[in-house]
Amino acid sequence: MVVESLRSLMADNLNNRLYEFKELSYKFWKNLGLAYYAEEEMEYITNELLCVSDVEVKKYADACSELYIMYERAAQHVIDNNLWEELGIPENAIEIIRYTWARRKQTPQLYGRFDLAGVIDGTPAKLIEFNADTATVMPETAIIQFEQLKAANIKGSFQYSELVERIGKRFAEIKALHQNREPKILLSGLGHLEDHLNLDIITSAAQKAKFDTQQLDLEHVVFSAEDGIFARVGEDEYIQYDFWFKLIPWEFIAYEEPELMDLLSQIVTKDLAIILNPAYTMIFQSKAIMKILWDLYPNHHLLLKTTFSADDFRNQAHVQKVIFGREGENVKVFGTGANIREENEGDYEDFPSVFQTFVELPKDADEEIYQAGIYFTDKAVSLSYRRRDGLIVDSDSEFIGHYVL
Amino acid sequence: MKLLNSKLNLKEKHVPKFLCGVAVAGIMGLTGCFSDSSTQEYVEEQQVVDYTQGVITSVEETEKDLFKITDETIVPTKEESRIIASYLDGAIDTFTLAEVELVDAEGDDSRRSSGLRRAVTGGILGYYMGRSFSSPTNPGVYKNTAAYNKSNTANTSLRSSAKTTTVRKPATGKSGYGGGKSTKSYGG
Repeated sequence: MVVESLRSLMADNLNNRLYEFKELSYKFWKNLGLAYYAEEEMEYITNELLCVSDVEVKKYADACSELYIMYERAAQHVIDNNLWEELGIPENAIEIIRYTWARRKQTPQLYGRFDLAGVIDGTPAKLIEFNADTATVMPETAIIQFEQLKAANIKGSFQYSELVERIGKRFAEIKALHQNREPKILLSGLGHLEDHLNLDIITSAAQKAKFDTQQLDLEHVVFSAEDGIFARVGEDEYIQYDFWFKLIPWEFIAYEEPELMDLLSQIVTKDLAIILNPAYTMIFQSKAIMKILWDLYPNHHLLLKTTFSADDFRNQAHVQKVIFGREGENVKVFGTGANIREENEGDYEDFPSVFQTFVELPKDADEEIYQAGIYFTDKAVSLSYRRRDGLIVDSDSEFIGHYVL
Repeated sequence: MKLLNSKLNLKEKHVPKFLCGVAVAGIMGLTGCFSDSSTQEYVEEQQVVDYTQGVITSVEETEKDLFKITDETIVPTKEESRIIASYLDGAIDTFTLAEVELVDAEGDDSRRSSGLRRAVTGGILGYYMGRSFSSPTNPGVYKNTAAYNKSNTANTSLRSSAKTTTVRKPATGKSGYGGGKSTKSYGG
């Protein structure tokens, strides 16, 4: 009974769920190698943890498992009906996507992150988007909220967070499926510190599966259509890697580096290397897939109506999102009239858009909204939140850890 | 980053020097090695062995300028490697790998020095210089059967701790993609 009344109290007001603890110092995070997140001007790490019940965690997890099956069916639909243009997938990506999709049992998706609305405000879970290709916020989820809960020392609480362990397990599965290949993986980003910190999490997970690991930014990686993927280690010396993890979006490669896309397509289709996440995750990553999902599962309880036309939302609050946008860039929120309630500019305006029913994210008494991020491997494995005052969760959001009670 | 060691483990490679206890090149320091999308042509393939353990080699000058190995003991790290040389006149010298390399770089090719070199490189230290794992140590450089037999045991330990990496040279390779894109995160 006590638990039940506590739960209804929490659902009534999100502020009742927040547990405040003594703030961890910049020096503390610096010693963990995470100073980047603790910079004062970032205003990113808070001294609050959000309470979630085990029932709610299960709701998130069940939603993600169901959504993943739906995404797979939608991807099959895209491939069967050649809906590449609708998804914004260019010609040069099609062959590698078809090839990796046909072999997804041998090389499954390593991980992704579902962003969901609902649940903690008592409303049903709703899909906001699936970060299928290069999901980040991993150091925060794997380390920062863990350290915060340790510092908060809330009796009887635990955290729904097995990110490194579960991605490590995924690596172990992938290794076992490719026993003919040397368990040696090269991990690359485009050089931003935040991406490096996220790569460290993936590196750690790969090491758990006994992969030899090496990080090297994309610009120094050598690609050969005849021989595969290499890191240069010395004058005329190159180490070949059978596995490559890239925290570089597939659509970035396809659109910005078409020559590299062509090389990667050859490397993968000649079985010269395994690239993670697999190229087919580009289908999941395109927000246009949510239109396909709505076509296949109209009015599904986990989905928001998503179409290609603003006309479908006359007198309805809705959101316009570019199909390959990230971090809330190039998102517009419209009110019930055609009025713009909030708008983010960004670098992705050249992509076409989808239009989606606006859903109110769980909100606290200070009008701050909470978006849940649930990491997924073959099941949901980890949870964390981002909080923002306003309507769009973007790079100005705060990170909010959680505890389960 | 304290989180984990993301820097390259420096690889020891087969350099035709007396001893190469010192690591050769790291990936992380190579910024600027490539011009944009440069094309390079290469053909070969070779094995690079990274020994994690070290060895203490004791040698004795049995005749003038002739040395024989009396003992080889594996130690946990390469840095602990030593050569202990006992001379006919009763003097004893201890070299670290770095010191030996320095001597070599200065071109000491005296008879005594080359005698010492011949002995230690016929033993386990020879593997550090590029002798293939498949070729055994030279029984002729050991003072007696006991020392030679011990070297075989030590050799097994060294082998089990070594990591072998195949270094291939791509026939055609291109790099330099995504340069200048590090100003923002590409995650989400």
